[in-house]
Amino acid sequence: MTDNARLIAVADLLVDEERLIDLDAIANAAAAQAARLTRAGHARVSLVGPSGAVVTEYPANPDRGWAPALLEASVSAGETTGIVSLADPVDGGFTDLDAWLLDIVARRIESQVGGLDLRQSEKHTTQLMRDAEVAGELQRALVTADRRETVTATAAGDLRPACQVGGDLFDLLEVDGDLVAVIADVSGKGAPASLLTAALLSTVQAQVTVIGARPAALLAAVSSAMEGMLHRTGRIVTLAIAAVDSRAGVVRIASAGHHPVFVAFGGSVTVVRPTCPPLGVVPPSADEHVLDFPAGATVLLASDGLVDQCDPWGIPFGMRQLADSFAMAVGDAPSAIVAQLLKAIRTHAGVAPQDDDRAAVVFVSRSQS
Amino acid sequence: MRVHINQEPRLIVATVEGRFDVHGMDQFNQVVDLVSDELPNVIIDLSAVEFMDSSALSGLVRTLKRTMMHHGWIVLANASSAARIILELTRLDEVFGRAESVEAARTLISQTA
Repeated sequence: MTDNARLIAVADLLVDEERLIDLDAIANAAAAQAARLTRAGHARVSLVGPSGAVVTEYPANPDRGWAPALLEASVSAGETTGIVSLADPVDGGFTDLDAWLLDIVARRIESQVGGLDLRQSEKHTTQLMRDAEVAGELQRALVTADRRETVTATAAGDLRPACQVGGDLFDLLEVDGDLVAVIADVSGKGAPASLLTAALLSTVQAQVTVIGARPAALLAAVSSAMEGMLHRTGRIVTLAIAAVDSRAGVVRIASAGHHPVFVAFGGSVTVVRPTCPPLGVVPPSADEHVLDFPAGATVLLASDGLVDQCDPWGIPFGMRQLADSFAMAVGDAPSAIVAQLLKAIRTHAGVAPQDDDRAAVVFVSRSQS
Repeated sequence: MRVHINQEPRLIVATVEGRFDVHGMDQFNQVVDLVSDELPNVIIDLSAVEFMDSSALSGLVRTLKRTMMHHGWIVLANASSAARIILELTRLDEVFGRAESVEAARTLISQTA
């Protein structure tokens, strides 16, 4: 402590709304502060330190003498967070020792503020990560089943979001003993898309209990139920529904803009294109694809995150490679096929980051005795 | 991704270059925000698009809805093969006006507006 000044250290933490950026503003605020601290009520300020030197006076036209003040800005992460003041020296003006002392105080304040900011930031980040983990667990728990076996079909599905949560979804439902497989992709990624995903999944699950295993009718009902939400959020949804009709020995497929469905049988793969544009654009059509579903026929519903995944050189996995990988895996159990496809995508990606959410559903017709 | 925007009488011409995906939506939303009664028509030049994802598609749909609100039209011009594939794959090519060039798109809009 210098013996010719009273140390008046005032560190005002300037929050976002009041953060002072330019030196003139800092100096003016400091001078006003110093003036309040001095007996004379006036101040001439020399702002020193890493920001440079600025001299200003407060008030502009005093009718009495000046009470000197010495101030220094404390800086954290490149932003001025406070002003440390020395004011009203007992005898004479300020000395180099005063300036040195002030600098030490300002630096101590900087490290304290910086440490506090860092701890708050770490705590916030930890909480966000924990929330994201829980949200991911919840999103997986919303799915009715990721494995299902009916009299006529065995099915499996898997979902790998690019973040903890995402915009892809799938579900395996059963209506009157028949399988209904669903896959969808809400535009966007991460938490925002996942909110709509949850609403979409519950809508689909509810409509299946009302409408049954009729894909085109289900699309229309889901479209109607989600219309307002999709319009308000400005999102679109691709949705494919495949339902086994064991009495007719067929699988019915309706798809609103979703990635093509692959149906493998007898060594060949049939590509089944969407029946209408995505939901949230125009009302879906009433069309359905109806394909024979003999024993051993295998169906793949996949999201575009599988074909769009690029390798480190920017080459996408592609539809052709997905179809080939699927064809090679046919004959294995659905869960094994899904696992092999997802592994093939990961191998292709290598060190490249996961671009998009990935979802895949496979079901196979069981032999009828 | 880069978006170049030109305003003409009652028309916005936007050229999208590069990867048209979720990371570029802030830029693309500038196009959507410009649509108004004074600027109800939009041409999106997709000739330089290398990739499109679902966010890009929903951006186009938002633009479509916005032009409809203001009694205007949107035409997608000169779609690159990458853009064409995703539009056809999702059947969104049936929803938007399409033209082989920006000039052809202008003609289409002037005929329908």
